[in-house]
Amino acid sequence: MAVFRVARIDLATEKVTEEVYKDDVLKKFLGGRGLGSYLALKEIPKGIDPLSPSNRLYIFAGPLSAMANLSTSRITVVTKSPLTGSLTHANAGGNFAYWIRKSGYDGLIIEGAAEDPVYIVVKEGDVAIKPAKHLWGKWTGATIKAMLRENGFPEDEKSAGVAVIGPAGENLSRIAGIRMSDYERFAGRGGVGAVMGSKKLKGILVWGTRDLLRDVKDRAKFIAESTKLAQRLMSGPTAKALHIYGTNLLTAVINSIGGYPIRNFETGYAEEADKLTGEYVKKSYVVETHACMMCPIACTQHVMVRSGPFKFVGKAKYEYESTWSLGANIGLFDPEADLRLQKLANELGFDTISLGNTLAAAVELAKKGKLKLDVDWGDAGALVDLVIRTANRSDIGDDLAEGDYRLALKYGDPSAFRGSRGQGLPAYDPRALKGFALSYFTANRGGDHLEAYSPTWEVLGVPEKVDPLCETPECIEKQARIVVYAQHLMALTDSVTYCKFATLDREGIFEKDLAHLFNIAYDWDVTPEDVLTIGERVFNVERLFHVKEGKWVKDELNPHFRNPLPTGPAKGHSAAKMFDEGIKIYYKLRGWVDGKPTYDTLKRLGLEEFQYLL
Amino acid sequence: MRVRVVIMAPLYFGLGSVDQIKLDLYLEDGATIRDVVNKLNDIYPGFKNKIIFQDKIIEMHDILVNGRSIDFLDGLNTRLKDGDVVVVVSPFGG
Ligand code: SF4
Repeated sequence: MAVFRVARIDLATEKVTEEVYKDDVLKKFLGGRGLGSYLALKEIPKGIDPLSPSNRLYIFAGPLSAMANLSTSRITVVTKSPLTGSLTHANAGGNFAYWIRKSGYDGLIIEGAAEDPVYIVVKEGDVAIKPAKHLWGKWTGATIKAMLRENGFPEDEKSAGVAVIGPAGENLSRIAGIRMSDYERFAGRGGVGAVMGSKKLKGILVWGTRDLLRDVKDRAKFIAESTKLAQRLMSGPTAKALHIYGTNLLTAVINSIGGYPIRNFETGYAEEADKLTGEYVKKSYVVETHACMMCPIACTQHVMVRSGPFKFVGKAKYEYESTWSLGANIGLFDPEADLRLQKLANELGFDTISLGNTLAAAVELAKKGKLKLDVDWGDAGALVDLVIRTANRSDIGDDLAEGDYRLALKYGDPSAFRGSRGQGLPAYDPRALKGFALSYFTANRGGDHLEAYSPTWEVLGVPEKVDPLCETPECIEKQARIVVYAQHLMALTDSVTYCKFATLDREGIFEKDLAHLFNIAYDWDVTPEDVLTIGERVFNVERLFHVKEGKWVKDELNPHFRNPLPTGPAKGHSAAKMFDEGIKIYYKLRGWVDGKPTYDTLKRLGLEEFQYLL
Repeated sequence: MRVRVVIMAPLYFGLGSVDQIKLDLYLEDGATIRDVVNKLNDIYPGFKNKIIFQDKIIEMHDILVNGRSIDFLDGLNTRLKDGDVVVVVSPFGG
């Protein structure tokens, strides 16, 4: 039997209660995104302001987290998003999931709000709430160091799990994330950092010595089987490539096929992107390769810029998405300025993707004369200055802190927003990778590539290769079918919780392997189909949150992507046909009508308790 | 004719360079991707086995011609023309 212990912490009353979830709930939702979404749907009152004390943060590991050397040390944060106004989930690697499970709990629910800044310490099953006035205003790196020091740990982020916000979260920027150890990991999307800020919660430190395999019946078998899976995962080519170069190998691939968004998705290709590639950055700035706790892939690249106008102190974690959002998407092709912006965003506590979306919208509005701002594409000095003003909400920064969607609306040009459900899009143009025409605009949290990652099948050919530009009825049908499958698989990974990078390869970890591990670990008797159905159930629960809120229920293509790409290898292609025709097939496959699950679908998934929402 | 070739992720392919390898190949008219791979194998002995197995591109690897995967063109028999850009793509993740 699996047992999932959660500490529910009310910051207003400082009351801590312990809750235990067992097989009846875990077999339906697992942990992470699944359990978080289920509880959020049940508990978060309809219509509340996400930045009010009534909102809740569900910070959950999963039932296999940190139990094997298998990329499972990930943590998911679920809450009502201040950016989109409905449910969001944000996922981070690092070591927080490992240490929270060692601390005696598998997850935390934070509710209410403190009067003055506080931080939470969870050690060996004890929860303490400590004053954090002296840390308020500090950048994320310094906050983590101070919290470790004050609690008797070495300043090395390996020594405990720490989650903090920076000035962006404190100042309730709707694009703030939560930084996690170890090192510069972020639960980024949806403005989850602002929810922490609204609760006056500067940070959380977790540590302990609990035996992570305590509920496992046959330890030797579990270790042997998970080791076999890890070896298989590492035998695959994507693990090898990720380890050598990290995620930023994508710049060259996506630019080459014409799907690399330039200047707020104006086009999909830029010759100048050469110096933003993972290969160039590796040659010039990477100083070490790093891993999330217990991950055999170790994909993370740390960089330093040691001289020049954009030098910074210490190292920074850099990724493909951040390099694009704070580079090509704001017309910036100087790698040193780009890396400096990434470091700054991590220190101030931003979601780098949404920060880039917001800067891009601001530059576009300025160039159209709608926003009085002296800034141009790629104007590094002005952009660095804007980032700081956004974190502090000073003058125009106050508008940027609201995020791209609200900025575009406020300045009378909604078309400057390039996203879905109120959140800006990541680093792939859905006109050149048409799987994204369906996956982006059906993604529950909005603006999202990680609810179904189409390069897996459109370039890597897993589970089967689909032409990213094809629009025949067969291709559209295939895309809809794979998007639905991938959305279930990704909801599953976030609920387990393991890394999506372990699902890109034919040798990766899929529902069959998870069912096998659950059956050994917890004496369950689940099939791969049962496990994949958990993903489907979670996806439907998230959609029900939108139904409950009466917000973002129907899936809509952002009108910008009806225009054809003006240049590059995918020139002339739009996302219109794939979306307009694909969405009908998608709804049929899901058992939904106009974005809403039907009663029969809820019944099939064992979600009848929510039928009152229909 | 002249064809521009880019090899992504050279370290992954066991080549010495960290940064992308870019070179211009001069080929006979009517040359195909197979000819490009053979030429690359002359320059980097053993390269062919890293991208082709049993006369097919190894799964999860790719070769693009002007941004299109040869899987959606004519595979290794895809004919090239002067000025084409050929990109050898490694696996990736993000
Ligand atoms: S593959 Fe990379 S991001 Fe994923 S868990 Fe491993 S180190 Fe972390």
